[in-house]
This record gives sequence, structure tokens and C-alpha cells, in this order.
Amino acid sequence: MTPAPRRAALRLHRELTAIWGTPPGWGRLQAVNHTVIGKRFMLTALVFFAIGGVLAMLIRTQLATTKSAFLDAAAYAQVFTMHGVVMMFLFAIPFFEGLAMYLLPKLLGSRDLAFPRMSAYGYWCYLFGGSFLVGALLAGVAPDGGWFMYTPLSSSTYMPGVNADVWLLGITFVEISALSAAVEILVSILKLRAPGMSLTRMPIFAWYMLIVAGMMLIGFPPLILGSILLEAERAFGLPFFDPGRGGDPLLWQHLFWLFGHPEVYIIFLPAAGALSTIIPTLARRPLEGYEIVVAAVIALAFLSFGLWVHHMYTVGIPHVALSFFSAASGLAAVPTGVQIFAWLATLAHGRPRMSVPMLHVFGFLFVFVLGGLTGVMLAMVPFDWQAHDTHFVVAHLHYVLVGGFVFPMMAAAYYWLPHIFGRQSVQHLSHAAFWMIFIGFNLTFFSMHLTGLRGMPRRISTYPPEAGWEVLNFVSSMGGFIMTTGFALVALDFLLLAVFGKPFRRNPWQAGTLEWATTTPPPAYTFASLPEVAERADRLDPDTLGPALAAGNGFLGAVRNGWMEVLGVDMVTGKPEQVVVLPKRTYLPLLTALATGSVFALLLLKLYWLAPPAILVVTALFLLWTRDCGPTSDLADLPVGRGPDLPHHYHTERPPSYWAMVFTLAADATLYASLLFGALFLWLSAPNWPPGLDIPLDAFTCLAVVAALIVAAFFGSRRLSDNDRTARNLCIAALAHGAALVILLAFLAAIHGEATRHAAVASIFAVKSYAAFHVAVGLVLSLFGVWRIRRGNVSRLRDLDLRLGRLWHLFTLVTGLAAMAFPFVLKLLIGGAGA
Amino acid sequence: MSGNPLLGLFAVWIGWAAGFLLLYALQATGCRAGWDDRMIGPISTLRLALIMTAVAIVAVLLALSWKARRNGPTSPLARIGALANGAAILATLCFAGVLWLSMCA
Repeated sequence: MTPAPRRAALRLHRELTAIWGTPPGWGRLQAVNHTVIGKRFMLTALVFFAIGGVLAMLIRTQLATTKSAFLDAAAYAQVFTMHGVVMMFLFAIPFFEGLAMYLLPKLLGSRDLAFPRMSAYGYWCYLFGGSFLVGALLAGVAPDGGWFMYTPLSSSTYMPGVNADVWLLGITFVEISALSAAVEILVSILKLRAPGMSLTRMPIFAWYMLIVAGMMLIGFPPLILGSILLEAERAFGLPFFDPGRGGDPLLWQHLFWLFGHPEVYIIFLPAAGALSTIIPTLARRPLEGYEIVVAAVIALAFLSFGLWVHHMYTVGIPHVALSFFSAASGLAAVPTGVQIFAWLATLAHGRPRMSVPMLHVFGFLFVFVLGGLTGVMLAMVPFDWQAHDTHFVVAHLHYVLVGGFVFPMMAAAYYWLPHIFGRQSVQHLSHAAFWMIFIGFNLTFFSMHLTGLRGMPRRISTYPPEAGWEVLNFVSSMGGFIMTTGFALVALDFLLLAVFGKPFRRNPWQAGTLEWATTTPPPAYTFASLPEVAERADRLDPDTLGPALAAGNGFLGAVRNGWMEVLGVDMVTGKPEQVVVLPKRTYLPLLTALATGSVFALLLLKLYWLAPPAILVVTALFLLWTRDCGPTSDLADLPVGRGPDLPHHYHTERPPSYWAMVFTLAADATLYASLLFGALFLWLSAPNWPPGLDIPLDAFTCLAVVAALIVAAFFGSRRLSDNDRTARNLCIAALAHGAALVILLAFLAAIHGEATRHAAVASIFAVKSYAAFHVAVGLVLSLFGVWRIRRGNVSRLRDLDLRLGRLWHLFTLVTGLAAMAFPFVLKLLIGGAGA
Repeated sequence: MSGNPLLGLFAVWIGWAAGFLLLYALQATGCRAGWDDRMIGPISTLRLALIMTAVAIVAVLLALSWKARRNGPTSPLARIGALANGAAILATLCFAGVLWLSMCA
């Protein structure tokens, strides 16, 4: 680059850094940038991984010998429960979320994610929720009912302390973070890509993350629902899981595993996406069967939702139903195998470069394939009946999760750490660390297959000498300590890399993906200008592209109004459609997460009367987020440096926030469907039905609510050119929502006593509460629309805020009608079954 | 419309998932309602209902897949869709147990 263009590039760099950068000191708490938030997620997840690892060592110390007195049974229960909780909820999911947040905008040729403030809010919720759980462990009141918190053990009868409440509230808090990340990732992949990057030109990691985010959107709501129902049972006596009052503990298992099994694939697939990115680079050959791999990932995603009963083979489900789940479990091995053969074929046809990431790839292949094989064994009902709840299952799940997540993530860390730090590994410790982990892992967990087959149950804190398990357990414990030492060496190796690593110019692996076109460490704005992609985005030339983009020779290669600008594209073709202006850094995500945390803390402390004001504070803080969003006058189309001018996203029909609302409602609909499924499940399967008390119908209440919802949806959804008339309509919608809310609250207050007597009435209570919540949000959104009109954020060409409200009002109408019909349907079903 | 190709990619699998849930729910409801004890010739009402439903699900998925192949261009996205659809149809093997396994025990 000659001096003049270099000066121009430097000026652009300074201007963009001033806009996109995070200030030092306390200003760091304002950070919303995906690179910063992604790194924070990963670092925090690694801290939790270390905590989970220490807990694992406590478990192995306890089990190393017979009749061990190291931990008593109560402390041991907290330790093994928290080990599972920390590793699953606080390490695995947040780590890949952080990796995805860090990488996706770079791989997709964008500057940031679609909702940077939401990323920051998700991070703070995760940090506070995780600290809440670990704090409970230090205080000796951690969850102690196993990571899946089965009822009736977790009911208030058998677990009267706050231990189970810590799990239910803490995990729900963390799940908010995961759901917000899912929406963020989905919208970012679909809308914020480089111009010309069609879906089929996306780097394979983006395909994996697109599908994983969709799975999170559908998979997490059943767990959130289950947690709310169990907390409602524990706190208010609504008997969803109490068989004595028409509930059923199996409902918890269904709701938990509806989340829990897809969760395994939600954890594995991002790691597989990382492997599908790393292996071709290290093999110096494009991924074999890109299209077949994408189809396999789609198949695996859907199949993973057909496996949940695979964890419930021993609960007495009829053979034919078991066969559906057993067959689906076995079939899941096929798309997994397709991916493994694609990786092997890529390695076989390429010229693999032996390196530290490749070592971990081999570790993955060995361990994960063994875990997959025992998975097929456990998918078969007769074998599972023998091995259920033994250490064989513990061995299997660790082979799958460590093989399918930890080894690939270590490969990913060694591959991308040079990008994060701008330094390459010196590799003095890397090989020794790998072998210690690999050998230690296999010693630890292979032995567990054998203790399991010899009948050693899970979760026991001691075992008698005559059981014959001691030698294998001792080997297992020694292996665990070797593995832990290996992980400590990896941590030291990372530290050495960060401090003493070799600097490099660009693209040390000679990769063909866009993240290596940034400077390293990456600047806050990622790309000074955005690339145009005309071929598959894993076959590019970052060495040539990088300097050209840094010089501003791409899209949006200049600053405008101090805006944080990215391009929005057509979901399928990648054709540029809009200039998306992102909101700036602020303390609001931190404050909102603190307020959200206070709601959960108040519920844990049983200060229920203080929770509604805290919820109002959270709502007010969320509304404050919108203060500086959206222009206050109509704008002409904006030049983007290349091609035709494009509209500001507020002027388009389908901006990112529209899709975020659609996806949020999809998750919401899943939660509602799970609730209705749960109620019908109780009718079908729970003991002590029919209820023996009147089903509260109250036709007048239902008709009044239906009328109010229709009025609210009609007036809240009308599209008028006159702002004053629109504001008047929204006020009518708000009044209608308010009326519906009052009627529903009165109804809920009237049936609360009955709801504690039987699960049938409790189900009606839950369904109507869902409707009341949506009506309350509808009321807020109606008034929010009026506020936005008064502030000048709405015009005939800029009615995004109102269209988001419309989606909510229509959703509330549909779900509200179903909620009002629900008691009548339930009564009909009870009557039809001979009540 | 730009949204359609993406939805088309998942349509047959969404059908498979809906069919899976329908069969599971029908089996549980049929057992609750005692359909397994009501015989139509040598076969129980419940088994007949499940077999007919499974056949209908396969037919719907085949129709959806055939429609996607007929309408879609031979783009990479269409090829991925065809592969995914084929996998969904093969995955209906999960329902084969309705032919011989015990219904309510």
C-alpha cells in the first residue's frame, strides 16, 4: 500500500474505532461489541469449567476407595449435582455461544451481531445466574437432586430447603441468556452477511450454528416451562407433579428430556461445526460433501427431538411407543456417521498438516466414536434396561460430551487463539497436555463402563468392599487426576501463548475463511469495509482481501453520522437490502440484567410481594433501550460505497428486529404447546383423575376476555397513515388489554384455592396465567406504540415499532382464544372418559 | 418469495416431527380409551388406526418431497433440500413398530 492510501486507511481505522470501540476503565461495563462479549462468554465459561473440574475431582476422591469418609452423603449430593449443572449449563452452552458470537460476524463478513445489547444482556444474565448457583454451593445450599432434578425428590415434601429453588430459578435465569443468544444468532446469520453470500455460500460453521440456534429456540422452552411449573408447585402448592392430587412426576421427565436430549446435540453440533471448519484448512482441501453434511445436520437436528423418551425406557411406557424412540435413537447414528466420514474423506484426500489442533481432532475421533457406539447400545431398549442408572451411562455420556465437545473445542482454541491474541503457540506444553488429557480421560471413563456393567449405580457416595468395584474406581480416580493435570497444562499453555507467543502477519493456517481477513487481534469494527462474496466463503483468499477491505475498498467503507452500520441482506440470496444501524454501547444491559437478577433473588427469598415492582423496573429498563433507536424523520436511501443506495432498516418491511420478534414468538409458542401437552398428558396418564371437583368454566369471564382480545388485536393491528388516529387506536387496544388483564387476574384469584387441590384446575390456572402475561405485555406494547408515535419515531414509512406490536397482539389473540377454550375442552375430555 | 426456499428445506422434516408426535399421542390416547381391546377382525382398532396414520404420514411426506423436487430448480439449496427430504422419508422407519409390537403394555 502506498503512503496516501495507507494514511486514508489509518484515518478510517481511527474513525471506526472511535465509534465501535469499548472505552477503558468503568467504560468496559458498557461493552456491547461481539468480540468483547464473545471473549467474556468464553473466559467465564472456562472459569466455570475449572469449578466443575474441581467438583469432579472431589467426586473421584470420594469414590477412589470403599467406605470413603471424605464427603458425607449430603455434601456428595451437592457436589455431583453441581458438577453436572456447571458443566452442562455454565460451561458447554455458554462456551460455544461465546465462540459463535466471536466468530460469526467475522466469518460472515459483517461487523457485529444483529442485537449487540442483547448479547451483553445475555452475558450479564449468564454471569449473575452462574454466580448465583456457585454462591449457593459455597453457602452449602446448592441443588442436590441430580442435574435433572427429578420429581418427586425435588418436591417440597422431600426437599424442603432452598436447594431445588436455587436450581429452578438459577437455571431459568441462565436459560434467558441462552434463548436471547439463540435469537441473536439466528437473525445475525440470516440477515447480516456479506453481500453476495447466499445461504449455500455460507461457511459451514454458520450452517451448523443456524441449525443449533433453531434447536435452542424449540428445545429450551420446555425446560423453562418445567422449571416454572415445579417452582409453582413448591412455592404455591399447584400440584403438577404430585400424583396424590392428579399430577404426575413423569410430566417433569417429559418436559426435562424434551430439552435434555436435543441439548446433547445442541452441544455437539457447534463443536462439529468447528471441526468442519478446521479439518479442511489443516487438510489443505475443501470439506468433502458440503451439501450432504448440511443435509445430515438438518436430519440430526430433527431426529434429536424424537429421542427424549430414550432417557425414560424404564418408566413403563408401552413397547410400541418405546420402539419409536429406540429407532430414532439408532437412526441418529446415521447423520452423525455421515459427518465423520466426510471429515475422514477430507483428511484422506488432502495433505493433513500435523499440528496441535489436529492432535485434538484425532482425540475427538477416537473418543467420540466410542461414545457413539455405546450410545447405539443404550438406544436398544433391552440393553438400556440392564445398564440404566449405572456407571455405564456415566461413561457413555462423558465419552460423548468430552469427545464431542471438549476435544473439538480444544482443537478450536488452538486454531483460533492466534486470531484472538495475535500470537501463535510456542507449543512447548501442548503435546504433553494433550496426551495427559487423552490418557487420563480414557483411564477415568473406560473403567466406568466396567464398573457400570458390574452393577455400580450412579450417584452413590460409598460402596462396600465386597462389591468388587474398588480397583476399577481407583484406576478411574487416578485417571481423573492425570486428566486434570493435563487441563492445568493447557491453561498454562494458553497463558504462555498470550504472553510469549510468536507474532504473525496474517492467516497463519492459510485458511480460506473470512475471519482471517481481519487484522489480529481483530479491531472493534471487525472490517473497515465489507467484502462482496462471489464464491463459497471457505474458499476465499484472506491475504488479498484483508488489505483491500482495510483500505475501505468494500461496502460501507466510510463513517456516517457516527452510526454503527452493517448491511442487511436477503436471507436466501445474500442480495443487499438495507443498511442496519446498530445501537451504541450503554450500561443498560448491565442494569437490566441486575434488575432481572433481583426478580429471581426476591423469588428465592420468598418475598413474592416485591417481585411485581421489580418486574416493572425490568420492563422500564428494557423500554429505555429504545430511546436512541430509530430515526425521528424519514430518510432517503443511503449510499453504501458500491451498487445502488439502500434504505435505513427502519424503512424496510423485514428488518432484523422483525425476525427477532417472529423467532421469539416461535419459542413462546413452543412453551405454550408444551404447557397444553402437559395438561393433556396429565389427563391421559396421571393417577387420581377425574378430579372429583368442578372444573371452573366461567363462560362469562371467557366471553368477556375473548371480546377484549378481539378489540385489542383489531385496534392494535390497524395500519393507518394518520399518526393521531393510530395513537387513538393503540389507546383503545391498551384499554382492551387492561380490561382483559383485570378480568383474568380476578378469575385467577378466584380459582387459586381450587388450583392447589387438583392438577386439572392447576392446569387451567397455568394456561390462564400464560394468557394474562401476554395480555400484560400487549398492554405495555400498545402504550409503547403511543410513546414512539409521540417521540416522532413513527411515520407512514417508519412503522416498525407498530408492526412488532401487531405481531404480539395477533399472537396474544390466538393463544388467548385457545386459553379461553381450554377449560371447556378439558371438561369435555374428562366427561368423555367417563368422569 | 425469499422465505420459501428456507422453509422448504425443513418442510418434510417438520412433517416427520408432526407425524411422530401424532402417532405417539394417538397411541397414548387409544390405550386410555381402550381401543386396543376393540377388535376389527384379527386386528385391534388401535393398531389399525396407528397403521393407517403411519401410512398417511409416509404418503404426505412423499407428496411434499415430490412437490419440492418438481417445483424447485436444481440449485445447491434445492439439492440440500432433496437430500434432507430423502432422509426424512427414510426416518419414517421409526414407525415400523406399529405393525407387530404390543400396543399398551
